Amino acid sequence: MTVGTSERDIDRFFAVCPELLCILGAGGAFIRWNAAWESTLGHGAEEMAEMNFFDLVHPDDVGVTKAQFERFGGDGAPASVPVRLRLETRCRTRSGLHVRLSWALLSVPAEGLVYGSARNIDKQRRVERALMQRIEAKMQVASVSSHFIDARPSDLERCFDEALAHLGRDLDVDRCCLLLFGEDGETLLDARSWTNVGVAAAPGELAASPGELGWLLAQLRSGQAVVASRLDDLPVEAADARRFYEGQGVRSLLRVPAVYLGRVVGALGLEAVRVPRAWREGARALLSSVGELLAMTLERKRAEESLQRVVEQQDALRQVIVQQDVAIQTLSTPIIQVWDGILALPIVGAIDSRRAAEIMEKLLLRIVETQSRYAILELTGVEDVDPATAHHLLKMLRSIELLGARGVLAGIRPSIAQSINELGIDVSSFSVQRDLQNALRWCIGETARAPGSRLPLQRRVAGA
Amino acid sequence: MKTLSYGEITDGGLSVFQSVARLEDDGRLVLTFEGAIRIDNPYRYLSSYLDELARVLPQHPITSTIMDFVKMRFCNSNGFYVIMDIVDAVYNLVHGPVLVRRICDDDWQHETLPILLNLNEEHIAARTTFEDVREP
Repeated sequence: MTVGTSERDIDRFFAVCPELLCILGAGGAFIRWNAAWESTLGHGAEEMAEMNFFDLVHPDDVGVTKAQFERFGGDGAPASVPVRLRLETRCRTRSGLHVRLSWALLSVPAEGLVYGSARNIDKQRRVERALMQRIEAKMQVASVSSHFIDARPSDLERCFDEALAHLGRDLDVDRCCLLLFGEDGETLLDARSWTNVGVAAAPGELAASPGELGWLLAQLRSGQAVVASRLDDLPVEAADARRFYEGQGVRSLLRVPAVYLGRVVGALGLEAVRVPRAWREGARALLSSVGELLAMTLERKRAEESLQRVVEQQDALRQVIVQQDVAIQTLSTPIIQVWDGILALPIVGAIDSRRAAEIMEKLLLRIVETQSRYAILELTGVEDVDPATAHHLLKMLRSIELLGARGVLAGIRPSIAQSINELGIDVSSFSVQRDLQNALRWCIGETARAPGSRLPLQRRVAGA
Repeated sequence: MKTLSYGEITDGGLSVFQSVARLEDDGRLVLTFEGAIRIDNPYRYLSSYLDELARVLPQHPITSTIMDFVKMRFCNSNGFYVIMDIVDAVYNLVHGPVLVRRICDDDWQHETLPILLNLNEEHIAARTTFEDVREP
């Protein structure tokens, strides 16, 4: 293998290298360059021949680049010593756009030449910027989100205010605000705002007269953002809104709907007061993300409040049911002390096992408490007696007797008497009276006749 | 209407991303982007599409351009380079205004597209308008 002459090798490298190669003469004139210049920047050979390096540099970069080039001739180094330099510049393409190039330069002062190699890093920088912007946006959303971690519904207003302050400071705006719609999605329920230091506070949208913000609110409710670098950018139909915001000292306006699950629950907004400003796309995207977070939080608050109301209603209803249950039980088994030592228990309706047990428990307790000797079971309100009911009644009467008192049946209807007979129930051992009055009279008489009675019979009967 | 060029990325035999360049009868260029770019080397699939675009775009009297990203759901950083190559080709090779259609509440399209389009360049920003549409 034979290696060619150095000149031929250099020609071949110049032809194949995808990076931009050049040799600059005094003052930056192009002496030699490769084909990559045309493929990257679009400038043909004839144009390049007439151009100076600094003709290509972006006007904003010329000063810095020239300052760097001055190092080729200074820094106290001997003029014969080559100087290496790395820098970045934006260079103009043939179509007038600019491409960011990363340069490696070698100056040979003794020959008055600068050798350069440049790489197009424009797309790499744009990708880095795009990714960084996404990361920063996510970090901003995350830091605003932190205000809502474990927030109680009662703390949400404070959380909203903190989040607005956070956003306002991060985005360096004059005012940052939050509009909240009512659950009907139409009413403007609340408007909160944060105002930067040195900026006059404004009363906000709640101060608007009816219809003044009609266009703006309709836009937001339909999910559309309102973006105005200057209020004059607002459309003609927004004239009322424009006057309103002018009155509030606003010069630039941004409102982004806060949407959760397709429902617009409010809007987040930014305002410039001191100097008009253009709202960058990133700010709008950030407001959209934070708006979703706020909407989610608000919906959660509403859901929790709604749930709490349901729970409270249920508790109240449960309490009513319990009270009614107690009242019904009390009313259904009234035990009345009608005379000294005499209780009366009017029974109404059917008697099942549960009710029979309750009646018996209460009755036996009252007999003991009042030391009664007679308990009258008044059955006028009992429609029918089936075997189970009859069984419960018998059990009740026997239990009364076990306490040393006497059970008296009163008010038995003919149909019930027939049922008792057909069922073969023996009630001969108990006193059976026609009605409550007779039963009471019988009990009083028995009491008076009893040995050791302290009250005269006549007085007691008269008292009845 | 005439299709000028078509590029497609497949993954596991399935088509995951398509881009079509169409020329409407009224001289409008319509570039559509549909699907998602998640693979590591999209140039493997799209380099011939890019070459074709660079070849055919200067041959037609295009008056305006629509770039439609509404059906593009996701793009990774490798895909960013392809998108930049496509949109740079349009801005460099085609004259006239450019309308960019994007989803109104899509984070990445709002944050990233302006950078990929290179709106920092005044020439590009002056030619570009956005139309924000609801996700289909």
